[in-house]
Amino acid sequence: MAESVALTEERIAYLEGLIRRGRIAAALFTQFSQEDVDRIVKAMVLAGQEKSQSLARLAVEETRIGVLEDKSIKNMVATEFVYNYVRDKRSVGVIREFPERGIVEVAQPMGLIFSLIPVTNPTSTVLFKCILAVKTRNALIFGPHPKAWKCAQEAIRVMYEAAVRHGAPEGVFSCLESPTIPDNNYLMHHKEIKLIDATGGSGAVRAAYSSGKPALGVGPGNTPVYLEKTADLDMAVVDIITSKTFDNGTICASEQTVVIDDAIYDLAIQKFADLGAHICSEKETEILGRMVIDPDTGYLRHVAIGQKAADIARVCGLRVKPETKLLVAPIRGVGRQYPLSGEKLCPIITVYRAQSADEALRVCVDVNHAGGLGHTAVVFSRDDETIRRFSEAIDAGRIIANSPGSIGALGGVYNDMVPTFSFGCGTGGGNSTTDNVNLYHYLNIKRVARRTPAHMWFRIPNQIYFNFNAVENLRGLASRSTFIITNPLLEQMGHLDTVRRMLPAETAVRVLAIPDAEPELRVVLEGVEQLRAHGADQIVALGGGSVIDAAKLMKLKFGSPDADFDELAAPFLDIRKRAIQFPAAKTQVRLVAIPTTSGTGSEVTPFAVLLDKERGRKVTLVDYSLSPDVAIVDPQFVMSMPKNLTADTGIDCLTHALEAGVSIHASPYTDANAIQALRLAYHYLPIAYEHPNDQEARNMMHNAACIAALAFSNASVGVNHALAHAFGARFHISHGRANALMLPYVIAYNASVPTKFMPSPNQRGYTAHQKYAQMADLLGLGGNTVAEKVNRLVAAIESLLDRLEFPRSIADLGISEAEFERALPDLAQAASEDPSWLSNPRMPLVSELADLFRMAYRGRAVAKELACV
Amino acid sequence: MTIDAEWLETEAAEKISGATGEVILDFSPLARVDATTVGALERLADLAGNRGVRVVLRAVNRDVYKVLKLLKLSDRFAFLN
Repeated sequence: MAESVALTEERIAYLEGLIRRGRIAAALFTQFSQEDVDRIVKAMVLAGQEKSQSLARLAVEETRIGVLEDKSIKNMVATEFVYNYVRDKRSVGVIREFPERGIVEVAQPMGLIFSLIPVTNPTSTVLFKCILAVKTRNALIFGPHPKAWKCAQEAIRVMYEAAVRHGAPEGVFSCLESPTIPDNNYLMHHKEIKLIDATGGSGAVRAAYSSGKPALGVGPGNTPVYLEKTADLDMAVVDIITSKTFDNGTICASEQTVVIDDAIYDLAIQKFADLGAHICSEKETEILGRMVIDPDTGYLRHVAIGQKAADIARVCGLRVKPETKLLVAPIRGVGRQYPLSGEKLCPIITVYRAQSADEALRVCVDVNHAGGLGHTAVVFSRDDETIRRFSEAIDAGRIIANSPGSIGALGGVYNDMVPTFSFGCGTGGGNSTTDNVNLYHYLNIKRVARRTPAHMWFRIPNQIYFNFNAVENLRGLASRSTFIITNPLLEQMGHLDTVRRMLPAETAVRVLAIPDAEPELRVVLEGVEQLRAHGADQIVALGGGSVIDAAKLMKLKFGSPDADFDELAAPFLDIRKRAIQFPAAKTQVRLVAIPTTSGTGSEVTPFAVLLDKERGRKVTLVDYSLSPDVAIVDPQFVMSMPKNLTADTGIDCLTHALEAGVSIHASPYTDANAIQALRLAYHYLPIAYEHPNDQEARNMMHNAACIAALAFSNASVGVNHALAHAFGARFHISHGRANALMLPYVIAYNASVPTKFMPSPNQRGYTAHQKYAQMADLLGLGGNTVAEKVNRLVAAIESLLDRLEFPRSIADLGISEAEFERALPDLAQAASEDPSWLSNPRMPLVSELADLFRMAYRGRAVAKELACV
Repeated sequence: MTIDAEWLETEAAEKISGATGEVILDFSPLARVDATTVGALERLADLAGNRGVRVVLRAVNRDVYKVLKLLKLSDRFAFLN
């Protein structure tokens, strides 16, 4: 290509003219429909096919490279095969739809493309690119290799006239006259060139990528071939000769070095010779390497590119038969000291005798790395494992198995790869793709992503028995061996005996009394040992949340001894997508939960808290496999609950209902439970508190706790729990009490306009304030507007807290302001790290968490007129 | 009425030549533009610019508007639905 120092003004005006025409054509093309472009493409294909022979002749005459017949076939492939691939594909407007994913792909043309055309395949590459461009409604400026300019120009003319005659915009294709490197550089850097499609030498590809423009750069290769001992040798040798002599080896995917297993080497070489190849002696190989390879660059000299084998031999002074198809040159290694081991775009192929499969693969890798990274490789073998190992070892966009490399890589003839005349070589070749370049690389594909709410769930234990004496249902649960986990106090109160009496007489029973506190790892592991020793098939957990949580963890570890609590406690955003998976139990055991408090709802929840005292931390495990199999919600076990425990656990239940009700994971299923739990707790909690022997109130509060848990087991909780966890842990305040301190402020906070919204695909708009208003309506609190109703709900909760004699501020707990302020940054940070708020309707900023703590410190400070959404 | 290069070069150009202030051209009949129409629009924009006339194109369809936008001609006209 002619080098010139700088472009003249005249030349720049010429280039700008080309760009202006192409730019206008590209803009006008955007108005065309699918039918328009399909009509034009068909006409172009027919025109190209008609001229395939004459274009081939022109190419051979001008470039003096290749074989007329083969070039004609290439032109046919570039039209017929490419058309066969693109004809039914949509390239305008909506091109693909994935209704199950809610994704629609919409095509957008790129605009004006600058395309380099190689000397080796000029006319076929032009035909191919013109078809792609029109199919995708783009305009092209071609920069052919100067030694192939005339034939490329003619191919462009054929395509252009057919296209414009059938309605394509004028200027859709143009061709640089007397192209120079400065021309290319000017165009590559021009702002109106939207894509560079550089099919050519490594220099052109490098220039394209260096331009800073989006580019498809497709350069040289060095195709290794592994001829493995199980291969169909007759087929393989014919395929290799067919491929390597096709157009005199000008396709950059053609075979370069054949690595042959020792066991079949001699036979393979004989077959090459029998079919018209000349097998070079060591001396001839040395002469050939010296004569055809430029020692400075390591590349094939231009004079040898695409020449006949006999002609090359003659020029090199080798005596071969005139009909020689291929020169086969044995080599003993790869690299600069073996000049022929690189790419040879001519009918010279090197062969290597490998003593083992490992050596064969190693040499193939060497060839691959000697200028062929990312391009093409070929393997002949009947052994799938060999093909797999080869494909893993070799860095190539196309691994052609049991077929010719060059024609195989073009696609559509020997395999179902996409037909192309541009081979993407991936990062190995400095390219952006390993694909066979096709119409999709000429499109900006826009994706319309429709909102797809995730499917939701409502998972609860198999059986829930409730009301007085529900414990009698234990009789119906067959068990050979039952392990009762409880705490010493309940044993003293006689509850344990009540449960024992309900177990079938034939059931062997063992009791483990554990401390009434959050379960420690040590306690859980000791329990598991006893479960194993006892060979239990049923665990009955009789107690509050701590006992039931311990039983859940024991069941988990008993069924899955390898369960790693640390790993299983890993945080997650979506339970369905989290990184860890709970193990399937190897030993099945039924867990029956009988709660003795009315608040945590642990009898139906998939949560379990574990205290790791040795490491001074508490972890929460969440998985539906932790949920008890049976819940027995029998109020006889809560009749003697002390007042403060009634209030604490009761307000925990109320908080569960309120938070599940406004959670971003709320659903009609959880709403039904949340609202019913709220109604029951709001009405019966004060009665149960003030009249502990009121059986109806106790029963209804026990039900409320379980029903609220059904809601939050599936909708989770919110920021109130995050605050309560942080505050309770820091100041050793009971969970219910900590919840109560925050509750009015959290309702007001969630009902106001969020500073940050929480991403919530299952919710339509922000609804927390409206849901609070619905809750107020359900409780009969009155009010006309949403704001009034929310205000009344807050006031009602405050009145309830008063009635339950809760401290109404953090200050009321005796915590000084100085101590509180010192703790505040840690409190806010701890709350922000608590996963409970991940389902809160508004995303809390750390500063907002601090503000909520401050409000709770002062107490009774909820604005009377809330600024509802 | 047909909107094409000839109309733009003659009738539309006359309107602009004789106008002060603003000229409204009804583009609703124009379904698609071609290269000659683009050229005529460029010349019309030059003429309007020289005469200080604001040219308002009324009812330009989506496809035509996109072409004008891509060719940066949309900056040289005003648009009215």
